[in-house]
Amino acid sequence: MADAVAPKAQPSWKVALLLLQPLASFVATMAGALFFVSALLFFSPGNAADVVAQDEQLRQALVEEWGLDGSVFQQYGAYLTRALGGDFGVSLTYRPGTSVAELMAAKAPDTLFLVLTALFLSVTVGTLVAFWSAGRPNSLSRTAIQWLSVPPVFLVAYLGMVGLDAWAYGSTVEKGLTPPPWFPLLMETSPVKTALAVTVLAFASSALTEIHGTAEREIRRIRNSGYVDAARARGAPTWPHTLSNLLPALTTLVSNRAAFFLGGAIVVEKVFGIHGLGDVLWEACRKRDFPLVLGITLLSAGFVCGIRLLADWVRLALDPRQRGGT
Amino acid sequence: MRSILRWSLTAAILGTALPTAANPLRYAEDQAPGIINPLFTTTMVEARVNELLFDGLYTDNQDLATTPAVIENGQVDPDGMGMILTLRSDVFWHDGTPIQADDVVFSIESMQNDATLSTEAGRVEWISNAVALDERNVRLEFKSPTFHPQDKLFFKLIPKAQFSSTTVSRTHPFRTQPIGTGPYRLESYNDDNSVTFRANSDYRDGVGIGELVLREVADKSYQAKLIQYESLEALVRVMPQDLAELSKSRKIELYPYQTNSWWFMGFNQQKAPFDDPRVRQALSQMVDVENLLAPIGTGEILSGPYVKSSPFYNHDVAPWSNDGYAAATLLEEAGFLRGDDGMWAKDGEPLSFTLTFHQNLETSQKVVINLQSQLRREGVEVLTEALDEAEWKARIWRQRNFDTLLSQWSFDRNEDVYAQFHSRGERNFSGYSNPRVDELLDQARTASDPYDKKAALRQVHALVREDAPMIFLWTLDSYAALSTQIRNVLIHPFYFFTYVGEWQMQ
Amino acid sequence: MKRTQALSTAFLIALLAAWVVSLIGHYDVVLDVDPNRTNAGPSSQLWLGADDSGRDVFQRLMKSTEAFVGPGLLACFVAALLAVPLGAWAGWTGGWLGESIRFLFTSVAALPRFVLVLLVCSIYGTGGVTLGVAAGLAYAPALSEAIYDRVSRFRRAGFVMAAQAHGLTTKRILGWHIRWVNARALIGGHLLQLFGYFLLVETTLSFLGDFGVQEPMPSWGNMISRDALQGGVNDLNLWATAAPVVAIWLTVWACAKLAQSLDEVDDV
Repeated sequence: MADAVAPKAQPSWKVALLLLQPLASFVATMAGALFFVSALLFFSPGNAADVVAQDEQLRQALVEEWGLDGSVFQQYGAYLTRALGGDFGVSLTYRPGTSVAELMAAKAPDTLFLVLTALFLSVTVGTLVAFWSAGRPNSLSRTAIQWLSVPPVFLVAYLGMVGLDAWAYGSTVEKGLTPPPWFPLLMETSPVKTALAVTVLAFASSALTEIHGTAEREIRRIRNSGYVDAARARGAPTWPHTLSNLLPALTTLVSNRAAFFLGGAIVVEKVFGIHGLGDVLWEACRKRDFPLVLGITLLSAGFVCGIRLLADWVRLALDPRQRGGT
Repeated sequence: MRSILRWSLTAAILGTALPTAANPLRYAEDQAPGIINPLFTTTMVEARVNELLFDGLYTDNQDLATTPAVIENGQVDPDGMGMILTLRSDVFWHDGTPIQADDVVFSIESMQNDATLSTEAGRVEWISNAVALDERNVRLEFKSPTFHPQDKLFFKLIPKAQFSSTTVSRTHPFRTQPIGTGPYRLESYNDDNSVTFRANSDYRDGVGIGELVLREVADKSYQAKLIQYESLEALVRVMPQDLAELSKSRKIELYPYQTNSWWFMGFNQQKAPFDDPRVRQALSQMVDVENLLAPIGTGEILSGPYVKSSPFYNHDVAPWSNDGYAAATLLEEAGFLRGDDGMWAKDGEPLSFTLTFHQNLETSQKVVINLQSQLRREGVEVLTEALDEAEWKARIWRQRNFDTLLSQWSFDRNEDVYAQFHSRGERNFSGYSNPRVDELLDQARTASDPYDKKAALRQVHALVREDAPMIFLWTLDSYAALSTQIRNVLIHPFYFFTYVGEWQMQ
Repeated sequence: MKRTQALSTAFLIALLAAWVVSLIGHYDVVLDVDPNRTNAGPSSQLWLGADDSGRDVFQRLMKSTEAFVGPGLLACFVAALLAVPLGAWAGWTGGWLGESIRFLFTSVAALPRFVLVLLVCSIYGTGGVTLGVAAGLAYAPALSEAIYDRVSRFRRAGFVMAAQAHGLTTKRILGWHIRWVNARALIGGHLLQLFGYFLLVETTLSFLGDFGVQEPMPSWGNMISRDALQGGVNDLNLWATAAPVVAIWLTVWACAKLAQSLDEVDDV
C-alpha cells in the first residue's frame, strides 16, 4: 500500500483535517445516539427501584438514594457530564452499587473477542469462497452457503448444541464414563465452546451469505475491469490485484457488519451461557437497570461508530481519490 | 506397601498435575446473590448464603429444636418480659475479632431502625429494648410476655465495627465484603458470576469441606444435567422431571426433605366478582387439582395454609372436591347464568379474569395452561399474564392490581401466616378480612401456651378454607441431589445449609 | 434462478394464506390442551403430532403466523413510512437539510438493531405492536440510506431533467418517476429483508423467553423445546421440535431469496 499513500505530498494540516473529519462525525453521531436513547427513556414506565423495593416506603427511599426523582433533563444532563468523565453511575441490580464503568471494563473483553473473531472469520471465509465461486455461475459452494447460513443465530446454536450434547452424553455418561473436562458446553469456559460460539456468530443469520455475496460481486467487477486483463497478459498472478482492489469494499462491509455481530453476540452469549456484555445487557433490560442498560448501549454505539471511524481512515489511506479534491 | 510407595512416587513426579487441595463442593442457584447482607434478604438464594456466612443467637439442631448457636446460655425472666444472653467466648468474626455483646445490640437496633428499611424488621419488632451489660452479656426486654423467646432469636448477627451507624444503606460495601461468624467466609466473586466460599478455620465446631462454590445456572432443568456431568456436587432442589434420571446414577444420591412451602391460586377480593364468597367457592370446586399437579411432579394436596406435617394443619378439613354440579349451583345463587355458548355470565358480563404469575416460578407454565383449559371447559374464561420481577413487585406487592394470581409461599419453621391472612398483614395481597381470623391470629401471636396456639391456628385453617380467599393447591415433594463423594449430609428444610459444617467430602 | 424465485414467492403466499386462515379460523389454544395425548406421534388427526401438553403441533404452527406476519407487516410499514419519504427528500434536496435527515438516521443506526429492539422492549414492555415498531425503526436507517443513494443518483439523470423541462412538479417526479418506477424493486427488496429480519427477532426473543410471545400463545420460537438444550435429548419430542425449526428455516430462506432476486432485477 506504500505506493498508494506516497505519491502527492500534501500539506500536513490538510492531512490532519482529512483525518479529523471522520472524527468529528464520530463525536456528533455518539451525541445523537445518546439523545435518541434519552428520548426513548423519557417515557419509561418503570425504574429499578420498582424491582428491588417491595413496599411503597422502601421504594421512595431508594428513589431518593439513587437520584431517580429528578426530571428527565436533570437526570440526563447530569448523566452526560458524568459520562464524559468516565463515570457511568452504579448498577442497581447487578450486585447493587457496582460501578457500571468497572463492570463494562470487566465484561467487554469477552464480547469484543467474540465479535472481532467472528468478524474476521466470516470475512476470511466469505472472501475465500467468493474467489472460488465468482467465476462459476452454478457453484455448489454458493448454494450451500445460502442454504446453511440463513437460519437465525439462536437456531443454529441450538441445533449445534443439541447435536454435540447428544453425542457427548451418549459416548460418556450413558456408558458410565467421566465426560471430557470441556463438557458440558453450557457451563464450562473452554476452547470448544468458544470456537462453537464464534462459528455460529460468524455464519448464521445470513452473515456469511451477505459477505460472500458482496465479495463475489466486487470480484466479478474487478475481474471485468482492465487491470486484471493487463496482469494476465503480463503473465502475473491476478489475485493480488483483485485483493488490493477488493480491500476498500471489504472495509465498508466490515464496518457495516460490526453492529450486526454485536447484536448477534447477545444471543450467542445467552444461548451458550457466556458471561459477557450481551448477557449483562439482557439481564439489565429484564430488570430495568437503566444505568447499566444506558452504559452498555452507549458502549456498543461507541464500538459501532469506532469501527466506522477506523474504516473511514483505512479507506482514506487505501484510496487516494478520496483524498483529492472532494 | 510397595504399591503405596510407587503411587507416592508417581504423585511426586506428576506433582503439579495433581490437585493439591481437595476439590470444592459446587452447588447451583438459578441466580447469583444480589445483596449479601442479612439486613436485606429478599431471595432464598441470599437466605442460603447467609446461612453459610452468618450465625444467629440460636439455631435448629438436627431434630429441628431450638438450640444455642453463639451463646452459652440464655436466661428468661420468670414473667416472660425479658431475658439475659451470655455469649460464648470462642466465637470470632471472620476478621479475627471476638464477638461482643455490642454486636448483638447493634444487629437488633439496625434491623429496628426505620431508616435502614431492613427486610427483617419483623423479626425483632417484639423486642422493646436491647442493652449490653458487659462484653459478653446482653439483656433483651420484650413488649409483651413472650413464650419461649429463643424460637424467635434466629436472625443473623452482623459486626458493629463494620458500620458507622445503625442506619445501613443497601449499597453499603459490606454487601460485597461480608463478615460474619459462620462456617464459611466469602473468598471471591468470580468472572462467571460464581461465588467462592472458604471454610472458616476459626469456626467453633470445625468445618468438613474446605471450599464451597455457588454457581449461577439460570435454567433449573439444566442443573440436573450438570450434576450428571460432574460439573456440580449439589443441587438444592431437583426438578420433578429429572428425578427418574438422577436416581439411576450411582454417582448421585437423592435426599428427600420437607419444605414449608405451598402453592396457591389467590383471588383479589377487592374486585368483583371475587368479593362474593360463593364465586370463590364455586371456582375452587371447578378446579381438578390432582390433574394440575400430575404434569409437574408429586406432592400433597392441601386444604389450608399449612403443609401436612405442620402441627397447625387441621386434618379434619378436606380440600374442596372437584364438583362441577355444586359449583354451578353456587354460581347460579350468586346471580350467574350459563349462556348458550357454555360460558357463565352475570347481567351480560361474562365471568372472565386474568391469572397472573411470576415468570420465574418453575413449571408454572404447565399449571397455568392446564388451569386455563380446565376452567374454560367449565365455562369460565381465563386470560394469563406472566410478570417479570419488576412488574411483579409493582403490580402485586405495591399496587395489588390483579384479578387472580398463581404463586407459592415459603415459611420458616414458625409457619407464621399472619402476614398472609390478617386484615393488616403486609402480604395479604388478596385483601382477605375476617374479624374472627384476625382475632385468632392475634391470639396465636401472643399465646404463651403452645396448645392454645395450635388450637387457634387449626381454627384459622378451617375458617380460611371455608372463606376460600385462595385455592390451596399443594406442597411439592422436594429432593436435593448430592454427589456420593459428600458424606454425613443433613439438610435443613428451609435454610438448607444449617448443618453444612458437618458435611464431609471424600 | 427463476425457479427459486417462483418457489419462494409461492412459499410466502402460502404463509400469508396460513395467516389469514389462522385469523378467521377457530383454533383455540386453550381448549386444545389434552392430557390424554401428550407427545403423541403424527396421525391422520394430528398431522405433526402433539406437544407435551397434548396440543396439536400443526395447528400451533399455523397459529404462530399471528406472532410475526401482522407485526412484521407493521414493521415494514413503519420503516417505509419513515425512510422512503425522508430518504427521497434528503436525496432530492441535498444540502444541509438533507444531511441533517441523514445524520438523524445515522445516529439511530449507531445502535445495533438488536440492542435497539431490546432497549425498546425493556422500556415499553413487549407485544407485537411494540416489537413491530421497534424493528421498523431499527431498520429505517438502512432503507433511507439506500433510497437516498438512488434518488441523489437519479436527480442528475437525463430523464428527470426532461421531466422537469416538461413542466412536471417536483412532487410528481419524486413521487412517481423516481420513487415508484425506479425504486420499487429496491424498496420491495429491503422490505422483504426486513420481514425476514423481523421473523428472526421475534423467534429469537420468544425462544429465549422474557421478551417474546408468552404461552399459551404459540410462536415458532417458543415451540422449539428449550428442554432439549437443558435436560438432554433423550426425551425430545422430535416432531414438535423439528416442525418449527423447518418452518423458520424455509421462511427466512424464501425472504432472502426473493429479496436477492429483486436486487438483481434492480441492478440491470
